Amino acid sequence: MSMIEVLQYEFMQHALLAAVLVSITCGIMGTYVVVRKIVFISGGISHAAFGGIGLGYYIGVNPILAAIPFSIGSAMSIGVLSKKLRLHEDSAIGVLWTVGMALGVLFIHVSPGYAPDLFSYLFGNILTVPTGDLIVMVILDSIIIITVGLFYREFLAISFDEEFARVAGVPADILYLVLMCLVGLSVVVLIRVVGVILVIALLTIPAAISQYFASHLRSMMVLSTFIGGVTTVCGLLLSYLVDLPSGATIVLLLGVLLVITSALKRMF
Amino acid sequence: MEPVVSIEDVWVYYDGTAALKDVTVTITEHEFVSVIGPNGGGKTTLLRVILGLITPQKGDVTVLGHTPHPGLASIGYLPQHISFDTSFPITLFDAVLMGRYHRPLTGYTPQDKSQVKESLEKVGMLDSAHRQIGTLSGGELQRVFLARALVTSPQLLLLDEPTANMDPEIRTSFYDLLHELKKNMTIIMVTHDVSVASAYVDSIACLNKTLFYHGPTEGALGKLEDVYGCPVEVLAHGIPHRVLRRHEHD
Repeated sequence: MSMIEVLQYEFMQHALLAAVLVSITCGIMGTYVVVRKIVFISGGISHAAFGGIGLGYYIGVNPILAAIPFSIGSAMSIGVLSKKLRLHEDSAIGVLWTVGMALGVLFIHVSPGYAPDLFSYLFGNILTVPTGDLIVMVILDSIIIITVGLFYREFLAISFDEEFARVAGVPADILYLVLMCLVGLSVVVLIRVVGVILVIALLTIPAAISQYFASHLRSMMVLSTFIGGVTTVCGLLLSYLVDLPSGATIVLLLGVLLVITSALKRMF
Repeated sequence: MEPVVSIEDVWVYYDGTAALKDVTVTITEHEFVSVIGPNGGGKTTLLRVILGLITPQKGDVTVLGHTPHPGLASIGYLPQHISFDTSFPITLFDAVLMGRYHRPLTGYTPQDKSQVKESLEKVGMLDSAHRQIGTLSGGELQRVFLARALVTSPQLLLLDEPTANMDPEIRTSFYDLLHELKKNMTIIMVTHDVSVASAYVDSIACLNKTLFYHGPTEGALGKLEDVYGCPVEVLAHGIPHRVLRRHEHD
């Protein structure tokens, strides 16, 4: 069977569309996550989102939709907890990370019957993205693109030098929370493809690779989108042809790419 | 002369501990003031009060006729040890452009961009405008951040330990630059670099929670032990001598 024929399957079209949507998210938001050094905050948010997935099972709502309030809620709480309550950001992350996961486990335990697809929410499966989830991903991607388009200057300023941004009149506190919410939304976009546990990889590795080459935030976003897109599609094909789990395959491809680029960067 | 900064009876507390106690000082136009004092003495807090980042629990602050608040284009600010990643994807030009920030949903104008060029020219960094910021040396970087502070053509310039990571020769040329700028603005500089600074500044204020304003430096600097709370020797050319009056509380 040729690749062209494969493309006629609906699940393959969905998977390719998902790859595009995911790469946009990881290009734009991954860039902020890396330059603002909030990798582990993102990890905390994605694990906390698992609480929402569990809740979705329990009340019979699409788990991806139920994950949205959880990831936004945890994004806001990390932002607020660390700034207002003087709880160390580090500890705030640890609390949300584990409490969210624990909630998810409990919800799934008390949900009647077997939890189908549970494994795909944990580790992702790009070959089984349903239409409903694709629509959610399109909407969230649009929100991310529009918000970043509107506040690009402010996000750049608070990522580079928050103190100076404040002095220059940037409403830094509120925009930091907005940025955190966008990270929360991007986690939801990525869950279907790599799962809550591997989300950090897509938010980190493409941006880390492109940081070697970019001298503008914008070009870093474009390059990470491209890297994310290519590796996601390669991972998708490998997982289809050789029957490997797609999430893990994508993450490993990214890992190898990072090692190669940093070695090349060191040599030249 | 109209005061540029007028601080009266200002107290600032962090979690119940006083960071500034009863600080009163008036700084006039075209004055170049150096604020010295031990670490934790409240020097950065004082700058943050002038910038409007901290509202004092008690006392009045007037800066250029306003109650200070962030976003005043008439104040230029060079923060202490800017903690950023040298691999941050930004060029000098874009870093300086941030100083021209207006308000949300408002882009930078061509005039903003020409101001950035002018400002980079002033500090001698225009040729490198499109280099990534991590390719600069420490001294060059401080010049860029000075350009960012100058890009709104401020009347008041606040510098927080600007020469901390500079080599001596670069330091001297940095001070020469400030000396030039002084013609058009008032400068308040927090520094540890007492001996060099004293050759350039008009007046010195010693801050250790309470502020002692010494007015004209009378040439160089001498006794600082009242502020530091321990004997301090300042090495200068010639025989050590008293150059500052005793604090009146003594």
